[in-house]
Amino acid sequence: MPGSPTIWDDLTLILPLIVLWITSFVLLLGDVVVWKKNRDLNPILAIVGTLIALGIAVYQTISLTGDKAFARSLNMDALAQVSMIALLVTGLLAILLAWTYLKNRGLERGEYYPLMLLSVSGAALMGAANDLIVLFIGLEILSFALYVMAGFSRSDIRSEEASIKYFLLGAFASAFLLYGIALVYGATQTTQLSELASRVHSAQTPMLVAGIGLLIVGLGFKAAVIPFHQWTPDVYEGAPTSVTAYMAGAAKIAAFVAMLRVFDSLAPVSSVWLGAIQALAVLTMVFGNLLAIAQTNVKRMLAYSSIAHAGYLMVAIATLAHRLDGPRGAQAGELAMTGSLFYLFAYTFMTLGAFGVLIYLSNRGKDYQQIEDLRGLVRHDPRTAYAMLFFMLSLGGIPPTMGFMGKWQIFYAALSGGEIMLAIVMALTSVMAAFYYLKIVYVMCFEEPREAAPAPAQFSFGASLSVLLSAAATILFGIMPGLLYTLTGLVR
Amino acid sequence: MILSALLVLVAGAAAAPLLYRWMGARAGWVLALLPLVLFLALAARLPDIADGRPIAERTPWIPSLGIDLAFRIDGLALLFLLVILGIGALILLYGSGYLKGHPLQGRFFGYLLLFMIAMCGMVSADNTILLFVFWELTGIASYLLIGFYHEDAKARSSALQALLVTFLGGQALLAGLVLLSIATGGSFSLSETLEQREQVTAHPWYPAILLLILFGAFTKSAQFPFHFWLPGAMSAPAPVSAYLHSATMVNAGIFLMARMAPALAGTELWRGLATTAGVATMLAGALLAYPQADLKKLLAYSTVSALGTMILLLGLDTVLAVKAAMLFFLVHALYKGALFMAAGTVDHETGTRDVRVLSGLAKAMPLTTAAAVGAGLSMCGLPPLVGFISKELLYEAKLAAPYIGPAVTAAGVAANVLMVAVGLIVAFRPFHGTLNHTPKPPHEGKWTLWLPPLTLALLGILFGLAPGLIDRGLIAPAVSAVRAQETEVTLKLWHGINSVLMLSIATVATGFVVFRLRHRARPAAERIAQSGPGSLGPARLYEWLLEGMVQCAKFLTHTLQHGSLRGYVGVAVSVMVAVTGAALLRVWSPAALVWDFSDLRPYEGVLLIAMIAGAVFAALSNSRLAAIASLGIVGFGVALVFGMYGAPDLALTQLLVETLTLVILVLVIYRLPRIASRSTPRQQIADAILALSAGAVITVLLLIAQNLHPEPVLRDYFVQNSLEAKGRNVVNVILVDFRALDTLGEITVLAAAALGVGGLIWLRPRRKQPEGGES
Repeated sequence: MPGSPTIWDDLTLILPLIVLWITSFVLLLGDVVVWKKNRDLNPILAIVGTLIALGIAVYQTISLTGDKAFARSLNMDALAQVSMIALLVTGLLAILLAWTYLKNRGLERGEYYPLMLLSVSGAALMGAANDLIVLFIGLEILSFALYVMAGFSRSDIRSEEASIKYFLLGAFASAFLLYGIALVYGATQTTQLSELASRVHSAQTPMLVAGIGLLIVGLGFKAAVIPFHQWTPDVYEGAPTSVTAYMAGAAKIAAFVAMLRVFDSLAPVSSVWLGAIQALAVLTMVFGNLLAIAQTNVKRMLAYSSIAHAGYLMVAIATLAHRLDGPRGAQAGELAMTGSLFYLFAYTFMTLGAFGVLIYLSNRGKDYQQIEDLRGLVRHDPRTAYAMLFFMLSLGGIPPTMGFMGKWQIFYAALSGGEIMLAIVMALTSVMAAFYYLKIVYVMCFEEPREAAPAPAQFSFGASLSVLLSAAATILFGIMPGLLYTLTGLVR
Repeated sequence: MILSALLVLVAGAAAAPLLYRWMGARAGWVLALLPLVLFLALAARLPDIADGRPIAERTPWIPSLGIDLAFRIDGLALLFLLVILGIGALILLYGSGYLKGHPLQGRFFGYLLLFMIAMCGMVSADNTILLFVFWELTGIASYLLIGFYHEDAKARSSALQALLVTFLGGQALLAGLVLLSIATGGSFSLSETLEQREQVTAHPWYPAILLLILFGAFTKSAQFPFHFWLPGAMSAPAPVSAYLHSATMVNAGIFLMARMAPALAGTELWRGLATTAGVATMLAGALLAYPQADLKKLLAYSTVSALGTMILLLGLDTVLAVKAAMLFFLVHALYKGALFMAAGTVDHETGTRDVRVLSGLAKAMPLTTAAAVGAGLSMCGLPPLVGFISKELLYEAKLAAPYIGPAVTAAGVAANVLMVAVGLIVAFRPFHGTLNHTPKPPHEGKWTLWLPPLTLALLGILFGLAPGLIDRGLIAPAVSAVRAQETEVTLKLWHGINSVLMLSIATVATGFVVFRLRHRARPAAERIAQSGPGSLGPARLYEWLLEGMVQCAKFLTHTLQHGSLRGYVGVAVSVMVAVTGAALLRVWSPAALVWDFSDLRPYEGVLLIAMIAGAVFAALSNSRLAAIASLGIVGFGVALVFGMYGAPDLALTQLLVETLTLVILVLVIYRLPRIASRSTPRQQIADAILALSAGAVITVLLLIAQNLHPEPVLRDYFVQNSLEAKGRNVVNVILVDFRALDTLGEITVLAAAALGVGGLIWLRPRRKQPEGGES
């Protein structure tokens, strides 16, 4: 075929991923062979690699071609590019956090950053997948790294427990997903998402229906949707905080971008899956928020909050079902797409920010995990307290923060798509959410510190910068959402 | 200009703590200049706006979603803005004296300005989403204001209560606004939406939109039964109460109703909802206010009553009623702001707010007394104060209301009688008579403590004597904006002797009698509050709900998040069974199953039986080793099946993987302790049922999959095209041509694995260090 893409075109399209892979290998090798002592080189090189990848990704987004690569198994469209940018930003913030955290705990082992970069590449593959098999491979690359990272603190039994729980349940989820893919293939004779859309309609067989059911179960696990969420609080609490922060952001982005892709191409048979997605969304929003109320550990609370946020994103997925119902449905579908991407950006900034505050504070020798530990923070560390305040407001979806901007886009999408019921649940559960997020504000700002001010935190470049960047983004994109919207708006 | 004005205020808010560090409490004086300048600048534009030329501007925000930073100051916005900025300046001044020496005073100024920004933004927004953003911001700013400057621990929980109640309303408002925009064709522009009255009221969503928006307004403006948060929030310091809880924030709901009236008003539903809520709140507030002994509680409940009156007036939906509402908003802000500040000064200088203790302060605090009396007379509605004009107009509007005129007038008179009594208790009781002993010896406060309330009280007298100052210039444009048509307003102090005047006289006279009876009323009210009905109020319901939610959450966490892996896996598998099973049931047809085992060969049957036996034995075995060995049977069986069905490469891989897994598992198990405890029989039965049903679902799926006959396209393709790729050996061609990339990938993986192994080897010498890794 004349003018058909060569292998170089394909490789150019995934250049950011290649940069990540090369960086990982350089780090793996360099850590044991070249710079054995200077452990600061690891995060620095990881940051450099991620920044290069980010630069390329941004450039490719600007000059977007929307090509499909590798025999149409990757779809490098706007969704792929923008989600890759989100993932790289998440990785960047997480590397900065880990720099501080690992050092304080003597966990600076060389494999941490390579694992993280590889998992970023896996997540990005999920976001770019035009083929269910690639999606699965991306998921596994992401997950395997995360299983290891969750158990990174090997002397901590809770970290080990987190790892094994995550691994076992994740393995079940992967098996279900794979089985689902096989059945969908059986029903439609294709695993390509872009093909699927045109074939599913004529293939509404029991096999397809069961396949879609298993896809929902498998992806639901990764996205921490109730009732597949049970690993989340245990893993979030047990894993090292720097891992939790990264995992919360990256896994959520990857799982939901994959879901957006899959259910976008399954829109012609929305009657098969809409009911299930709606039910899961309601369950997730209600119970995620309800359970968060009872938590006394900030990490666990954020785990349930991440579940609740998955619920809001499920509302967007449900709205995609109306994509083919006339012009208003199409508009709602577009809004759901762009809105959930905006939301994922917001989620990653505010969640990594909140975990970052914990990491920054834990720099003082004491591990800050309990809500009680934050008592009266505004008295002895006002700047950190204000950053946390912004993150909590944003997580609660309260203006003028980014979290609100994301949430109302999904809310608007749901209402325009006719998902009134889900919008109502979303609004009501947001009030529940405000309760526990504001409780943290309450404890930080209005209660007196229980003990004398602890020793001032020693300056930690990584955590400070990460929290600062997250807070700046949370506020900036809350007040000027148009800036980010130029990016997320590409996904239509 | 509006956006830049807001930005100036933002800069002021950010600079406030620094300014405070530099010049102490006087920072408040400097900061008060900001709203003052804006107030004057706006006042200068008054004639323009009165002529129907609103100030409007628009900056793109999220253009692709049609959301702009659009502002528009019409008559209604102007009235509110002048009140917000004018009283705001006075409050900053007052706060500089009231909180002098408070360690966080600098931040207090910052939050106050932040709140002011939110209010100004809200009333001048011309975009529904922008309006909502500022609406929520007022709540957050008030939360911080109340929370930081609490006087007791209860204040903090009331702050949270206030925020949660209004946040609930906020969510409803957001839903209402979004639905409204969808109903009017997707525009978020407020002024465009307001012009589409017919389309909105005829839309099937109209009842939902109205209910949601009014719900937001009612919660914010403390309407019955959500009135309970307001008195709770009053535990904030006096400047906050004066500003947020009487003059501005609680009026946000009133503003919202007035703003939305052009599009939403004029239906039976609007009238019914608003008058009902208004009357109930007006009466409830007045009844609850009267027996209180705390100055602030008295004022708080009377504010609730006043808010009810305004909602009622807007609900009556006549020109006269809207006029009365707008005038009453201004009048109420003036006198209630003054009274709150005067009460704060009394508290500040004497150390108590109990009206049973306070007495005869007039001599010690003459200027505060003057302010309180001036404002109190306005509250009682006595001439020549502007409160009198307002009350006359109020009665006139209520009397003229169609159908329900007599009823609302009666309710209004009852509420006003109690208001007169409350006004007398607040404005006269503490100052009249002989001096009582108070915790602190009373004396006049600094000028910052008496000047602001006195200014407001004097304005009340000025506007009463010269109503021409405000009627055409201020009230009329506001009424025009609410009615969406040009409206004339002429206010006069003296209307001659008519039925309205008679009602006024009767009100004041009865009020005076009720005032004298207050000592008998208080114990009775306390008895009621402590007995049944008192303990069943909405505040109790709120606490009960919140407590119930927390308890429920705790219980659920305990039962659902038990931490046992067995349970988690159980849930995972059962959900899979449920979801897939349900999906299958929906499209079930027996024909989908293929029960064709004719080509089953005998040795295959033997293999199958062996595998099944292996699985069963693995589940039942008491020894780990035996279980692993029997699992191995299953694994190798699968490998053989692959081999039999034409996938020798797959079979080989599976064989290797299986062997490796087996070896690793045995190695791991060597280190594990013996099985200490086994599941109880009941658990085992549950597990068995779950396992069998999961197996059943998978079996059904397999049977369905028998239908499938994929065509072996790939093999033929390779055979046909390998020559074209210049190769005779198909396998070679596949490796280096068709799947060159796979090969490249495999080489990379091998290289990476080699690196990993190399790393492990090089790592060995470092193992002596303590954190080397596992043994």
